[in-house]
Amino acid sequence: MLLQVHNLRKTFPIRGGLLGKQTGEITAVDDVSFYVKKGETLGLVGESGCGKSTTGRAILRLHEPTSGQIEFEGKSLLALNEEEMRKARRDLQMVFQDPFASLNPRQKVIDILEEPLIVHGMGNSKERKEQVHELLHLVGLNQSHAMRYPHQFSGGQRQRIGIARALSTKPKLIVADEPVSALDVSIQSQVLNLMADLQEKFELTYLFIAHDLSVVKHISDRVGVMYLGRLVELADRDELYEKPLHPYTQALLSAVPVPDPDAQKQRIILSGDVPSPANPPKGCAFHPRCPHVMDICREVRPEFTDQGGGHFSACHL
Amino acid sequence: MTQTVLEIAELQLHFFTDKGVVKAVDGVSLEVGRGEVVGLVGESGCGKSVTSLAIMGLIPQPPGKVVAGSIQFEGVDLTKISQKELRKIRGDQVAMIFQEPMTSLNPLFTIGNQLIEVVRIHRKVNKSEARKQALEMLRQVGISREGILDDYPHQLSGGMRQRVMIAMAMMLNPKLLIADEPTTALDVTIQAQILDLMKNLNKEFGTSILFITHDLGVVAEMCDRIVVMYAGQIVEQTDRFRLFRNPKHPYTQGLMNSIPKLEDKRERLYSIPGQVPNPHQMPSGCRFAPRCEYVMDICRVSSPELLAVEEGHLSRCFLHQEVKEVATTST
Ligand SMILES: Nc1ncnc2c1ncn2[C@@H]1O[C@H](COP(=O)(O)OP(=O)(O)OP(=O)(O)O)[C@@H](O)[C@H]1O
Ligand SMILES: Nc1ncnc2c1ncn2[C@@H]1O[C@H](COP(=O)(O)OP(=O)(O)O)[C@@H](O)[C@H]1O
Ligand code: SF4
Ligand code: SF4
Ligand SMILES: [Mg+2]
Ligand SMILES: [Mg+2]
Repeated sequence: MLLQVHNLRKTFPIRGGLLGKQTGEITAVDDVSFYVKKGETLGLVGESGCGKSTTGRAILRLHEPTSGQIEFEGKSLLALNEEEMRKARRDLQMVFQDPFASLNPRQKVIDILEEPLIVHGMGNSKERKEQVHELLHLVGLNQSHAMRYPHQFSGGQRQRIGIARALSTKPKLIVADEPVSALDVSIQSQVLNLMADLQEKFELTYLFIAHDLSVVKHISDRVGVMYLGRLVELADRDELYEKPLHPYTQALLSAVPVPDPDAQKQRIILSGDVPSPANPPKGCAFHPRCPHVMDICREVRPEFTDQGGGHFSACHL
Repeated sequence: MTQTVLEIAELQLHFFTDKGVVKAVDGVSLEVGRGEVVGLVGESGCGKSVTSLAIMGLIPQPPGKVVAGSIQFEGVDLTKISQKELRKIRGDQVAMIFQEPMTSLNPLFTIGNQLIEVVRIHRKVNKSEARKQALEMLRQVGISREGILDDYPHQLSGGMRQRVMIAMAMMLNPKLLIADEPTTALDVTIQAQILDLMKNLNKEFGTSILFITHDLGVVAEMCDRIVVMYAGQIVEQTDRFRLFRNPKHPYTQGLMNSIPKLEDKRERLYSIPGQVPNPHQMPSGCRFAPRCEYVMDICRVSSPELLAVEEGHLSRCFLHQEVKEVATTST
């Protein structure tokens, strides 16, 4: 077990009025628990605003969790002081969705890649330069790219640079937040293949966040589904895609457009919109859109429990 | 085929920039029949949006200019008529939905104001009649919540705004609806709702739709016929069954193999090497040649034409053009 997350909660204040007084609270992540095994990829899917990124960032303490426990290699990350956490980040790295925004436009690639090495006191100047060249090579770029600025690269190349930066400290866990969402399909498959190769080569563990269910299925060993800040289902990849238990997962999977005009599909069309996380429905958060809603669903929040063989679901059905 | 509503012929649209001429649309020809849904797919920058903006007469000029070709809508060449005549057709007979609803909704006016305005500009009806029509249209797109007409756009979710846009586009019962990535910014469950809605409008009112997207799953579900673009040109065009069962052009094949599919098991994805060409430095010969795994000598020097590989199936590639020659000589 590399990472264990227990009852993670993260709230953000809603401020309003002239004085910016707190007028309410958004529960972006609400009582989320899961684990990630060494060397595996755990996919995290769900619709916009359901709390995927916040979960990923809270694990790295880029957002300080409101409550809960995070254990990495058996040690509590939340017990670490700032200096200890900084050191721990060597093992925990992040790749971001937007390759355009996540790289400093005024830094050359060589400096972008060398920076984490300097921060973590890794190697001397010459060794670091060599390592940068090796990193570039690993992600399919070459030495001549080192002296260029981010704007001189295409989206796919920038994402490779983002991956190289995450790899530079030889991390154990990479939280990849929508790493291919901004890329065209032909470039997306290049980056997905690269991530799979690197995982094999360095025994990396990924927490892979995305909203594209086909992409997540392709890359993950296990998959968790979030809705309105909560994990509603989590299971082995094939189990989840073939035998989804939760009505939301079922609707989500049935809504994916299939690139095959001969496919026969039973689509579950939900009605209504995703409610605001500032004011989530009582009981089961999915109940206003659920085709199977029962009386109990409006009152009692279903527990996220193992339904057998590590297939977790939170539903009264 | 049924009657043609839209017929684009040999359209050439250039942008004259400081760095040189960008041939954003280079010889595009396509037709949309009455009641037909035609998909336009390709990677970002291949010219999908520019093509649709040209139909609407919304290309910023300068730097853009239609330098050749025609866009016939119901027999009228839209590239030849005045802005005034174009405005009359726009909204009334041809309507457009954009990826980001906020580009066509005015944040300062209520939903009701904007919908009523659309009707009143093009139709001689009084305010209360227009209001009734607006409410009816909103009901059709599935938002009939009390007081919706008095809401401002920012009070609605992304999915609701997109539905308001569709309502606005459909208000005047246009003959042709151009939808440029209408669901790209939406979540899948909301996307399913919107696609369902558009299909129903197409069936119920016989509205022709030019559906622009980069999502092959969406075209497979929505479109009767599909046009694939690469670097400003059409590379393949046929009905959706043939396109997915038997794609001919190496680029189309590559795209299809690149997408992870829900039903496949983990294996390596195919990937098209390299990246789309810089619009200022188009490769000579076939534009796909630098990335094509079947590239031949001829591909680097001369440009393949878009020709029929079979009845109703066009492809721009020397591979089957040779095959065809061999076939004709052997008979
Ligand atoms: N810094 C912040 N301050 C206030 N609210 C925030 C902040 N970051 C996120 N939120 C809110 O928390 C909720 C979860 O956001 P999060 O970014 O985790 O969603 P997500 O699942 O990653 O969505 P997407 O698919 O759009 O990236 C949202 O309602 C969002 O508006
Ligand atoms: N206003 C403009 N000035 C210069 N070039 C433009 C302009 N608008 C679009 N282009 C160029 O035209 C080409 C096609 O763009 P577009 O139609 O927007 O692509 P997409 O297929 O992603 O919709 C691109 O090379 C783009 O950079
Ligand atoms: S708990 Fe009830 S409302 Fe929630 S998903 Fe299950 S059946 Fe539906
Ligand atoms: S013409 Fe040549 S390079 Fe172009 S797609 Fe066909 S085989 Fe490939
Ligand atoms: Mg996010
Ligand atoms: Mg576009």
